Amino acid sequence: MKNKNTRAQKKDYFFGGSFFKEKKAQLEIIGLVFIVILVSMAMLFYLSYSVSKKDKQLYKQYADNELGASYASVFTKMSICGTEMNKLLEDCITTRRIVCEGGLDSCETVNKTILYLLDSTLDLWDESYGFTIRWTDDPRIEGYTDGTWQNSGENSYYFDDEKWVYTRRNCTDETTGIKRPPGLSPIPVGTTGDTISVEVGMCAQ
Amino acid sequence: MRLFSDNKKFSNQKAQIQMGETIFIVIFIILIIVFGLVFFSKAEGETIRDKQKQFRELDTITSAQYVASLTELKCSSYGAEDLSCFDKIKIKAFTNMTQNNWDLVGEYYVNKLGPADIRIEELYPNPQNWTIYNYTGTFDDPVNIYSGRQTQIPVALLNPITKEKAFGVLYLTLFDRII
Repeated sequence: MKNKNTRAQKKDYFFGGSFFKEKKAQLEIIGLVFIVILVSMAMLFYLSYSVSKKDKQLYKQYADNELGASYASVFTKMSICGTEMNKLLEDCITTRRIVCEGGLDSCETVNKTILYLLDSTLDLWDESYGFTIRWTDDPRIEGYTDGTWQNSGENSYYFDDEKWVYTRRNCTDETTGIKRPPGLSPIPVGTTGDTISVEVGMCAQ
Repeated sequence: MRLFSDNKKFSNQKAQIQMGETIFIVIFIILIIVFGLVFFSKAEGETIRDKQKQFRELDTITSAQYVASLTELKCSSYGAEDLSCFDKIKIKAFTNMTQNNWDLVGEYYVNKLGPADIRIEELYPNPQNWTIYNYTGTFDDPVNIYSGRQTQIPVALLNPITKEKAFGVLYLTLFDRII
């Protein structure tokens, strides 16, 4: 009889619901602590990851800016066809009087040299870049809005409102244009106040 | 007596059960904390490796800027320095110095540049190249030659006699020392 009461008490304790009723608050607290710990860890990982990613971008941005700036500067200073590249560009855009090796005029020589240099450097180093030569009487760079360049096609040079633009762009589909400021090497043309700009910029990644 | 003994038995069991619950909860919380610490330390390890990589990249930039500003190589005109320009005659002299007089100058440049390979390549108009510095360690100063990371910097190469400037590239490869 007494054994039956003891067994009944146990049965009632475990399966009658009183066990869970007594422990419900404890179970709730355990669940809450578990969730708080998980959320704290997740926030900690996110914060540490986001800071380190920004550091990476700063270094890449610095390296790309330096590369763009020095490329544009060296390109315009180099000697070619008995003169300097900036003089050859000026002749290409204005009078086209200079004749270089192989009977090529200034524009053809510039085009050939650009392709050779880009193939030997930025393309070989697997860089995504934009190389633009622009003639404008406005010192501001056209098409450069909020740090993003507008895509104006590849290997094209054309007369657009009497302005001459040569562009070669190698950005991949994942990028939307050149986001980093280009290395800029402006060349004054004659006495009219016009400027030729040689711009080399690395694509956004 | 029997009734009292049965109730006491049940009370003892209940107490054991409660103790078991408490122990289980403590173990569970400890497991969560340990798991979190292990995960966090692995993530921190990744972050530290990333930081190490960034510092190495910054070292590369520092070394590249140091080489680009070496007066032993830079162009000058009437005493004024020309940025991003190397003098070809100075390059040849420097190469001759580091290759044939390493005993005299090696220690100085190793202190400045460390284990590295520095090459200047002329691309246009006359392709040629010079290895102006190459130190890949010794028996007493071992270096991991597979850890090289390269930076390229376009430079103008001036012929001071003809005053013509060629298009060149400075290739700088830094290596890690084995500690």
